Amino acid sequence: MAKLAIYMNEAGDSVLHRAGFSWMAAIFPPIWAFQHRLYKSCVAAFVVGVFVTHASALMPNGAPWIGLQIGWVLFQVLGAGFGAHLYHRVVLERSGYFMTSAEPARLTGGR
Amino acid sequence: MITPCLTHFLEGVREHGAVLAPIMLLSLAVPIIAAPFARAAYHRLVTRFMRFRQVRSPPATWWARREQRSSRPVPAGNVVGAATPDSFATTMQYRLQRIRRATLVAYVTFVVGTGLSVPLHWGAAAEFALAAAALGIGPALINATPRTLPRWLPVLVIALLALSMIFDRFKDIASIVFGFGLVFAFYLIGTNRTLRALYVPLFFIGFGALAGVVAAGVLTQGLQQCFAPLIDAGNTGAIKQISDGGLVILLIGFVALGIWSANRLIAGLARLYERGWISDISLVFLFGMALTAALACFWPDRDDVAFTRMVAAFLIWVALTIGAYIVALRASPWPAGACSLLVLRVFSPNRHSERLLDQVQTGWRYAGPVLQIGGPDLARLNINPYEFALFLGRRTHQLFLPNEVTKERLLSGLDLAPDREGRFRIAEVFCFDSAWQSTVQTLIETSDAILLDLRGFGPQRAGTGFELAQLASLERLDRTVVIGDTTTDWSYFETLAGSEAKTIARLDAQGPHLVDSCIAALLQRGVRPAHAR
Repeated sequence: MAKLAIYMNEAGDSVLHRAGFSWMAAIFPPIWAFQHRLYKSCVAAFVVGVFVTHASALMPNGAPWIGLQIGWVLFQVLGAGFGAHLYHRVVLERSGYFMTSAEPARLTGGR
Repeated sequence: MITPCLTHFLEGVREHGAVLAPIMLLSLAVPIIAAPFARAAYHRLVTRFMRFRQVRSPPATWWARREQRSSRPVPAGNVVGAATPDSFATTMQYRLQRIRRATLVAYVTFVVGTGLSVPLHWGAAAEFALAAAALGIGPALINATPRTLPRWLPVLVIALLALSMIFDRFKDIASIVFGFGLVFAFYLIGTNRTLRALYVPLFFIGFGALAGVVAAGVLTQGLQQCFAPLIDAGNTGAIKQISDGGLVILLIGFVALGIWSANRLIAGLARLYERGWISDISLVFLFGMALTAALACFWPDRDDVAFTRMVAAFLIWVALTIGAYIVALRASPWPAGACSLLVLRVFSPNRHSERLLDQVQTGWRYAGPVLQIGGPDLARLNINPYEFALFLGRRTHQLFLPNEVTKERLLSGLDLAPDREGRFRIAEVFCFDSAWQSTVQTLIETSDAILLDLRGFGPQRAGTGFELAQLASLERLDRTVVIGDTTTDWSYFETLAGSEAKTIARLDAQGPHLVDSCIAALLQRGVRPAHAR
């Protein structure tokens, strides 16, 4: 289960942050980014998604290429799923947010 | 090329204008399916927040915003200087009667307002008035008798719907069954506190999503007809691929836009709730009336009715109903005075306990604010439109107190004022694990009456033991009413309560008329002349 934490900035804004795997980011990265108000990342994820889909369609058919395609999709899904919340935390911390409270499991088990 | 394109669009809009009413009916089913899941998700999240620990204090700006959000004028505590419990009970009854009168006026105006929808249909005005009278009863009774279902209600609804059968329109039994189902489904949802707050927001989300699908369909149809010559003339394979991709994006975009618009609307309603313009009960009442009016106005029999005419009839009808409600409320003054109640209990899921607390809290809303520490046992019961709107916006954490706060800061963040209809709120104080003990102390110090539900209480219930010890040390046992049963460890209770244990008002949970006797005992303990406080 994703571990929760609350981040705040000096202006009084607060954001709920989850750590762990995100199914939404794994399946629909742009929608995940939009949900988290990462609008530039949303557009970037959409463009990259369209580009990657068309690029993989250009690959020739045949057993080794299909393996490569499956591997690529898995890499993409796992990368987005595991990396999304990590990326969110980095963006938050760069924007001046800091953690104010968290679930005990997150405090004892690190971030 | 532009003129034929626009013609296609307008034709599409005209053709699909009639689907508005079926979309509304479909959207009615969305909350019924989604509410249990949404409620469970809310409960899960809130329970997780209760285990949170603070690692760093929130900035001052965060506190300032929190206080600003709930800054409604609060009447002074128990300002009824020489009030006796009996006279305050009369005041409570008067406040309820005042809302009942206003509801009746609004209901009658709604039935009379049926005349506005008559020109949109074939048929006599009487049949619409009868149908509206039957369909409006459910929502009206939610506002008038929120505690019990009157026995005469099913008979009256069947009688009205049966009377409407004498007209051609409603001669089939399916119409009766549909109307009856609609009235009672709405009444049951409206009187159930675990569903009431969720129903309206989820309806809007369902409506937004379905309207998005229809809008995307209309636009797609128009675009396909617009670009038909291009598709026919060009390289069909490539153009078709692009057009299919575009359509999928269009569909997702419109559904997202619909849900986003619904969220904005929900946020607007939450703001109205927050500012005291509506309550969780009147929201469902007025929504039910507006929905019935919308079904009558946007489902016309006649083909030659312009859309603007439907909109105008709907808006005037709803405005008249709401206006009548407001005028009737303002016509009778709201008697001042408030007696706050703090509810403390053993945090264990118990249906009997939940039902009792629900009824006591519902009745006490005409006396004063009900305060309680948010716990996993009552989180589902006490969910209100504002809390659910925060949940939908992923901002539930804003409800929680992260650490120990001063009395002034705690009280300034609580919703203690009555809403404009005269009902007080049930103010649930959510705390992180690191904050609840100091919060309980402050609430005990500031409450006029305290209800302590000790069913299932024993040495293993350390939290309730702490609360009882605080009641004793702060000398508030004289304001406390205790409810217990065979599962209560009375000897442990007496150990914690000390010498005053024998003087506390105790009620047996198996006793008759428990709700009424509980409210009466609380009034005896809580209402006292100002000089004695």
